[in-house]
Amino acid sequence: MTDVKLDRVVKRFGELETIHGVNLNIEGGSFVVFVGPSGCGKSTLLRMIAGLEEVTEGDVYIGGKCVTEAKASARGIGMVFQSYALYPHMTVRENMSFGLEVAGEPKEVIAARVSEAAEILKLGELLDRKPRQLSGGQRQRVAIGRTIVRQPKVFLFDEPLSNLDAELRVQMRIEITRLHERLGNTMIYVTHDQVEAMTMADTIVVLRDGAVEQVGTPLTLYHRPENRFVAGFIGSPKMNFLPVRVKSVGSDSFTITLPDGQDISLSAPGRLPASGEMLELGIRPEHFIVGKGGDFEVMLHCDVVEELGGTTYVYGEYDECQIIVEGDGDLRIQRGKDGLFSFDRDRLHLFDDKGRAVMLQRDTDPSAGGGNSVATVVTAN
Amino acid sequence: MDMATTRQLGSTSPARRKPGYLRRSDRRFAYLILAPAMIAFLVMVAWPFLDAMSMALYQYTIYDTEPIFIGFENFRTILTDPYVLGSWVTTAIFVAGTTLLTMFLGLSWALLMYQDFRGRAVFRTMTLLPWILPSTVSAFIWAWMLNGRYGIVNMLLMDIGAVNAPIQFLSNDVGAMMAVILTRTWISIPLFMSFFLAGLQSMDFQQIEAARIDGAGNLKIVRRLILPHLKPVFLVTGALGMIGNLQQFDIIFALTGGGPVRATSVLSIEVYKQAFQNWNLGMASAIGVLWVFTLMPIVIFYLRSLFRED
Repeated sequence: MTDVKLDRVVKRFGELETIHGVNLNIEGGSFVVFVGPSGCGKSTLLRMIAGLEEVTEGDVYIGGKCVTEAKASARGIGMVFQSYALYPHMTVRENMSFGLEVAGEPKEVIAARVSEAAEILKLGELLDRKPRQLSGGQRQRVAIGRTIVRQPKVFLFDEPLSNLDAELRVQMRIEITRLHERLGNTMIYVTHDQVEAMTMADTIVVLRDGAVEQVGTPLTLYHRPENRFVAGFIGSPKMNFLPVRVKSVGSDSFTITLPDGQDISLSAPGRLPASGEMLELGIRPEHFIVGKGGDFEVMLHCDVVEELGGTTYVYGEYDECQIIVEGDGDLRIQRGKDGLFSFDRDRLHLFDDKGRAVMLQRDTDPSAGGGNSVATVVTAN
Repeated sequence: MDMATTRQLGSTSPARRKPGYLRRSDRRFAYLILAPAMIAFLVMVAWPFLDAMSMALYQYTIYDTEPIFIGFENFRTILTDPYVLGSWVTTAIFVAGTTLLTMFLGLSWALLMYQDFRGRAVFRTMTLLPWILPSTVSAFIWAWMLNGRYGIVNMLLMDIGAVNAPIQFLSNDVGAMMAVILTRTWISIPLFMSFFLAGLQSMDFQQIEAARIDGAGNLKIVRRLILPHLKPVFLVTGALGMIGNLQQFDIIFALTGGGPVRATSVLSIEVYKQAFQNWNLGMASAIGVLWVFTLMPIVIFYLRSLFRED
C-alpha cells in the first residue's frame, strides 16, 4: 500500500501559475478521484505525480520517498491515458510486454505476467491483434493491461473513459472499480465527469483554478458541500440557487426571506450571517417534493417537462428564478401550468456572498454512513 | 421517416452501382471538366514525350538535314558506350547519396525541431531558407564555400588541423561528387524536414509519454516508436527524393558542369551535352528514354504507395 503526498506543489508555465500550492495526502490503497471543470489543473496535477510534468515548487512523495526530481519510470507508477496511447504497430502482446522488455525482464517472466494480466482483463484472444483491430473498450483494457504487467505501486488514470460511448463507459467504470478491489493498489483517477467521480471514488478531490476546493467522500461532498462551487459541481442536474435575504438574527438562529416573501427560520451551530445580508439558498432538484408534504412550499410555473420514463425533469420559474425539479416517472405535470412543490429544512444549503457554505443545524444528517472511506485525504490547502 | 429513407436508399443504390463508378450523366460531366487538363497534358506532355521517344529511333545530328531512321542503333550504342553507362552509375551514386543523406539529416533536423525550446518557431522558419533560395544561387554559395583558395570549408578544416593544404574539392572526382551531393542535400533538407515534422506531429504524444513511463530512453523511443510511425513518410520521401534527384540538373550544371571530366555527369547532364553540345538529338533522346525507364519503377512505387488505401 503506497501513499502519495503532495507538499505545497506549484506549477507555472512561464509567468502563468496553474497550480497554486496544493497539499494533499493520499492514503495507500485508496481510490482517489480528481474532479473539476476543464482547465482546473487536475490533469496537470496527475502528470506532476507521474513525472511527466516538472514541478515548479514543492515536492511529490510516493511511498514516503521524495520523487520530485525522479524520472517517470523510476516512480513506481503506471498510467492509463485518455487516448489509450497504445503503440499502433505492435500487437497487444508486444504492447503489454514493452515496459518489461525495456526493464530487461527475462522472457519467461514477461510471458507469465502478460498472460496473467490478459486473464484478469479477458484479453486472451486478442493478444496477437494490433490496436487498430480492437474496439474502444478493448483498447482501454489493453492500456490498463500494459500498466498492470509492470506491477506499479500507484495507478494513475487520466480521463481514461472519455473516448468511450455512454454504455461502454458504465461497463469500464465497473471493471476499473473491480480491478481496484482485486489489486488493492493506490489509484488516482482524473475525470471531469462527476458521475464517474461519485460512483468510483473512496475520496473525491474537487479542483478549481489550480486549487483544491474540497476533499471528502462522495456523500460528504453531496450532502455537505463547503462552498457554492462544490455544491453546483457535484450532483446532476445541478443544484438550484435562489437569492435570499437575512431578515433577522438571533443567538443561534436566523430567519431568511425567500423571493416570494416566505420566511424560513434556521439554526446554525457556527458563524451566523448578519441581518440584511444577501445569501444564496441551494436546493437539489431531487430534494423537491411534489405537492405538499415538505416544510416549505413554492409554486412553480412549468416551462418544460422532460419525461424520461423513470424520472421526470420539470424546468420552471419561481419568482423570476429558474428552477429544475426532479420527480419520479409517475409525475404528470402540464407545460405552461403552475405546480406546487415543497422541500424540507434539512435539505437546504446556504452560501454567503463569497460562496462559502453557512453551516446549518440539521435534525437528520443525510451524509452519515458516507464518511467512512478507505482513503483519507487528511489535508487540503 | 428517416428510417424509411435509409431503407429505400439501402435497397437501391449499392445493389445497382458498384462503388466508385459514376452514373452515365455524371461520367459525361466528369469528362467535360477533365477535358481542359487532358488536352493540356496531351499537347504539352504526352505528345513531346512520345515525339522524343520516337526520335530515339533516328539518327539526327547537326550533319543530317533530315532524321534518318536507324531502329535501335542508338540504344545499342549507349548500352555499349562506357561513358553513357558510367553516367548511369554516376547518377545512381548521386541519387543514392543525396537521398539517403537528405533523409537522415531531414529526420534528425525534424527531431530537433520537434523538441520544445525557446525560439523554435524562428529556427523552423530559418530552416526553410535553403528551399526559398534559387538553386543556382545555392550552387554558387556552395562553390564559393568549397573554393580551393578562399573557401570557408578549407579554412575551417585547416583551422582544426584536419588538413595541411587546401583541398580542391571541385577539381577532383570524389570532391566534386561530394560537393554536388552536399549542395543538393542542403537544398532538400527543408522539404524533407517538413515531411518528417508533419509525420511527427501526427503522432500521439501520449505514446511517447507512455514509453517514458515504461522506462524507454530517447534512442529506444526513436527506434521502437518514432521510426515505425514514420514508415509511410519514409516511403513517400524516399520515392520523392529519388525522383527529384534523378531529375536533378541545375545545381550540378551550375556547380561542376558535369566535371571534372565526367565525374558528376549524371543522365540529365549527359542528355544536355548530347543534345546541345554534340547536337546529337537522336542519341540524346535515347539517353532520355533510358533515364525515363530508370525513373519509372520509382514513380510506380511512389504512386502505388500514395494511393494505397491504408
